[in-house]
Amino acid sequence: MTTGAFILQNKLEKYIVFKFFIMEELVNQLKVQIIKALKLEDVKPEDINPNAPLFGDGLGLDSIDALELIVLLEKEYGLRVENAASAKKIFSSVKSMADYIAEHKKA
Amino acid sequence: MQIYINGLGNVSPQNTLDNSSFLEEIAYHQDYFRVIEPNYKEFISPAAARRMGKVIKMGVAAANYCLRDAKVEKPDAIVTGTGMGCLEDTENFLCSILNNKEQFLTPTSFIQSTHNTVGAQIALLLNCNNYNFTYVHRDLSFESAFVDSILLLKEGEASNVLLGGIDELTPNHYAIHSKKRLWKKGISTSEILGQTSDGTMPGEGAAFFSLSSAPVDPYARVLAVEVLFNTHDQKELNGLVNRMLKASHLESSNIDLVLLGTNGDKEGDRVYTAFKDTFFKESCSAPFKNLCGEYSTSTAFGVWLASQLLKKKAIPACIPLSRKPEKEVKTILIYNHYYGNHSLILLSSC
Amino acid sequence: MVITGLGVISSIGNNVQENFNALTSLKPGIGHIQNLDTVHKNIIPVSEVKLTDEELVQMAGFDKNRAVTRTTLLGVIAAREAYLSAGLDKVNKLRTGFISATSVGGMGKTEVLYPRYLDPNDTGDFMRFLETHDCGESTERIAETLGIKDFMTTISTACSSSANSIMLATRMIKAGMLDRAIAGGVDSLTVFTINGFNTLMILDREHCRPFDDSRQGLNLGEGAGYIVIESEEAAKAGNRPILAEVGGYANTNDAYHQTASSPDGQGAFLAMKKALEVAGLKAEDIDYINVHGTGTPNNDLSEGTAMTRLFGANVPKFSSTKAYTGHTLGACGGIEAVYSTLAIMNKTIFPNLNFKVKMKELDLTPETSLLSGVDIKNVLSNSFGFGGNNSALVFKKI
Repeated sequence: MTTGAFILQNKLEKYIVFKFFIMEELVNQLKVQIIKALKLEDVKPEDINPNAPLFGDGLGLDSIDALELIVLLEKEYGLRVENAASAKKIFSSVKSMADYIAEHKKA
Repeated sequence: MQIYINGLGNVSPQNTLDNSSFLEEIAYHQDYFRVIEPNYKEFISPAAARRMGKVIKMGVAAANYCLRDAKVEKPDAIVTGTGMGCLEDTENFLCSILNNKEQFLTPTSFIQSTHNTVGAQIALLLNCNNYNFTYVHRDLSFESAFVDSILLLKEGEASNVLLGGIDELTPNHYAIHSKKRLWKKGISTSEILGQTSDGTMPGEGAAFFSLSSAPVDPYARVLAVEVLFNTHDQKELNGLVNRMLKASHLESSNIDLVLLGTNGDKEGDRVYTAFKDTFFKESCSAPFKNLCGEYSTSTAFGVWLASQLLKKKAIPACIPLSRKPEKEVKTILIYNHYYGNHSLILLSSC
Repeated sequence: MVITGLGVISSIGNNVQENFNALTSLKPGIGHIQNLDTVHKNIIPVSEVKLTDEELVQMAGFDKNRAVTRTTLLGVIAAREAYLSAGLDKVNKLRTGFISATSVGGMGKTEVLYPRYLDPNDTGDFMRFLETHDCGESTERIAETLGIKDFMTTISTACSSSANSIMLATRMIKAGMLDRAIAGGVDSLTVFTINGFNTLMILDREHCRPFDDSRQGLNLGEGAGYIVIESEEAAKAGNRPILAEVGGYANTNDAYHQTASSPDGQGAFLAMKKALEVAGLKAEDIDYINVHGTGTPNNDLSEGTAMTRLFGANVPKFSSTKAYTGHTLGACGGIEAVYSTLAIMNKTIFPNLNFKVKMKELDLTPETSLLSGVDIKNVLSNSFGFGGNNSALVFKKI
């Protein structure tokens, strides 16, 4: 590998690692915000698996919680969810919420 | 048809939820009566409780306790009365609207602010598809619910009815009404009746009753529930009392104890004095709001108290009787009035 | 238990005749918010009564300096129309009740004055409005205006409230506790309610389309509707016309969710079934259903499912009148009781406006044209509220 390619690969790896930590921070932040907004008093952030379903199984949230999460997204991240149909996909897990935020949030 | 009170559940400013003791120690509060809250986890799962405001938890806990007491799994009807409804949730939603200029509003407090939420939550938790009404007529909300409950039993529509009276007090409500000089301030609730001055002390509570046409280790029999609207005319009250006694085949001398809704307000209490002197001069009387404070559905506390007195056949020291009763107390009349509306509830022992 | 009088005020008319004219000329009352100060002003369509508070004060005959809420004013106007149309003032010595309902009460004034209420240093004339906040206020003011004192009460079970008033009144008369009663309810539009429903994301940004496959939600409305119910004996006194009969009633609870209706419409099904039983009717005896039909995806599917379960392949002609009046919350049971009676009296079925395509899940098509000359003997009227409170009433031709 040439020095240039090596430096580029190094930068790419650092970038990926950097992005990973940003995402992890966002996921943790989201967990705290979700617990607060939905008053899940007996749940700790470490109890929530970021990939597990939020609705139905997993945390067992319902349609009112979905509405609360829509407000959370708007208030904390400035992102509007226009209808219940698109909400379902965004809120399927904490990770999917984080992905949505990362993708749409203005820098 | 006879109507019995077979179960009680009362979350109040006294230790009333636990039936094993009966007003042995009186709780006192500063400025206003606050309910002594039970451990709600005993009655409500965390998943359900997380959304519930205080008044809903109070109602659900009291209703739950009452049904256990009456050994009823699912009531045939749920009928509740509340004067002010779910104040805390209403205030939360309203304040959010005002503070955030209608932005970032969350649905939970709006949903919980509707007046029938307590009755609805009880039905939801019990999976009860039966009749479910909520009455919201000020200081006659509980009495309206009581009248409907009796009607359901007489119609044969229900063999048991879960009846409740619920109201909560919030700091905002207290502060706002302070400006109208409705309250005695800066004193303990032990002094609510001790001073001849203006104003009373507000309270809160959730009292539930399981009514039935069949007795199941009952507390009391319900003889009459009468209401009178928009009058300060002694003659009309006279007419009501006489009608009630006649319908119950009783004379005023048969009433062993009159529980009066005396609340410490000088002018309002004159009506109670006049009532007692006119109709029940010889009877023994006592207040009950010295234990629970003044609120729209406080007569529900009075009914709880009367039911306990009739079953336990003992009067605790905290009830300041006008005089000692000569015989066993077998018939109790509860009289309450508020700005021209009057109610009479007549109970007897079984 | 017979009906001898009707009274209504809504976005489509200030009295019974005006409402009927609008219903038969297919003129809805939905438009942009005029009377309230809100960020949603030109965004969320509503169905307001086309009168300002000042105009309502004049119409109700109140002193303009009196502390009175919009809810009270609307209620007085409609209840008085019912009272006078039944000629109750002509026959006096009977036990008369007033059974009303509301979900907002005096919130319209409270939400404007709340910051002043909270300021400990701000006292003044506005404090008179404090006592007008609760639900019982409008009932007492209306009863006072009409001189009714024998019995009154207020019911609040969200959107089934005034249907429940009618049910209670009928039961009390049947039991001999009253000879006659004015029953129904009232609600006025408030910023509180508009925002509340907006957080639930069940408001349509267009005119609502009840039972249509593309429906997006409801339009909030306001108004008051009352009917006068009397025992047959009481009705005979004073030689007054009998318009129809309250034949059946039922109240059940869906016990599924605080705001959403169950997918199988269990509560609605049980309510309709029981109302028919009380009326002594079979499903095939119903000629017209005035459905709750708010236009939300959830309600219309749930209600439609319940209707299909009860009526099978033979669902009667039905329509939702909420595309005219909007969803008047606590008043809708009362207003729709008036419309159901008008349907019987005039042999007319009012159309379900804005309907184009039936929903995918069910084979249900409401009436979309005005039908005249229909011999309507039995009407079923549905009102379903938050907290799973489901009520059904049956009105019969006399």
